[in-house]
Amino acid sequence: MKCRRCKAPALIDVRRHNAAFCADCFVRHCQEQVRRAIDAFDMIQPGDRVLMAVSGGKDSLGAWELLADLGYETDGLYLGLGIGAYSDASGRYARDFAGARGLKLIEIDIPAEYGFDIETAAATVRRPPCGACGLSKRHLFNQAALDGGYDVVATGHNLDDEAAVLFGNVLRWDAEYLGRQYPVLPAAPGFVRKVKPLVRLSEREMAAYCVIRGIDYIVEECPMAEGNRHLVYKEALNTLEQKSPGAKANFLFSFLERGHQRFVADAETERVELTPCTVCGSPTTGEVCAFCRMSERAARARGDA
Amino acid sequence: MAGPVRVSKLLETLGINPETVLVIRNDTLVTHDERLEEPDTIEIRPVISGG
Repeated sequence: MKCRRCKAPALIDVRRHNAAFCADCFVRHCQEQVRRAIDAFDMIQPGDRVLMAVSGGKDSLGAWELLADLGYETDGLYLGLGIGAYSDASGRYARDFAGARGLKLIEIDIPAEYGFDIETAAATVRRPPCGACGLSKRHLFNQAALDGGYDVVATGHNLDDEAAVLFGNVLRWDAEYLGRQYPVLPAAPGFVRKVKPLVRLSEREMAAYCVIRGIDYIVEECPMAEGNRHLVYKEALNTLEQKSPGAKANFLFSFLERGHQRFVADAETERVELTPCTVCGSPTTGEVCAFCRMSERAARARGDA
Repeated sequence: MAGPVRVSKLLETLGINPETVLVIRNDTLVTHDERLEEPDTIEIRPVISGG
């Protein structure tokens, strides 16, 4: 195959674009896709300070480099989740990446600073580990951004992630979640803006980007994620994609263009009555926010063990 | 597996959906129409994550 742009030998084919690219043209393709996503959804304004949520995986490290190369002032935030050797390794990848590029990496170690780990938290509140992890990340990324004076939190959610979440939301016809699913979550009192600049790039494109750019990332899957529903949805969507290239992008972007607005009112009801958490001050519907409730119970359970 | 074999054929034989992996030959990405030869060292790297 030849590169669609320069006709040099191609390294990577992207079937949904019916195209293949050489290394240099593929990097430009990724940059253009991120630029288009940022512009189309008004993700980042000139002068915004961006906090990139970094896991040590391909998506967040690749997104961090893409944002920095596009000229955005972007620092990284890595959360130590206390998932044994997996957390040790992923932290090393994040540190090595930042160190090699002279980028600022902020670190929060949940076991050291909050006295629990994700596995204990999940068991304590009887949630799946990914639920406890997601809750912790949403809370701590937002809090760190507020504390650090950042305008926006960027996450490495890619096209496949968003299509899989949409697939799950549609299977349940969860109107509230469908109303909230968008590449930008605007700022609100107590919440910084959240953006997903990789929404136009697939998981395979992000892995290829990292290989081409020489970004070392943790290839192993998080041991807690094994068999989760998100992976089942991705498998189903990739089966469709193989038969019909572009199916995932059509599914997601048709929803964003024509379906999302129909559910916005369902999502807005949730933010109507928020008050500050009596422990941490974050906006919450109850007296104590979900993170502080989980944190307190999990730290107690860990202390008892 | 004995070569030569095209990347697409290799993945089909192994029952792997091409959307879910990268194929890397001697540290370089290869496209699905590339022909792999007997002495090549091939890595089939999964790209799907559950986060």
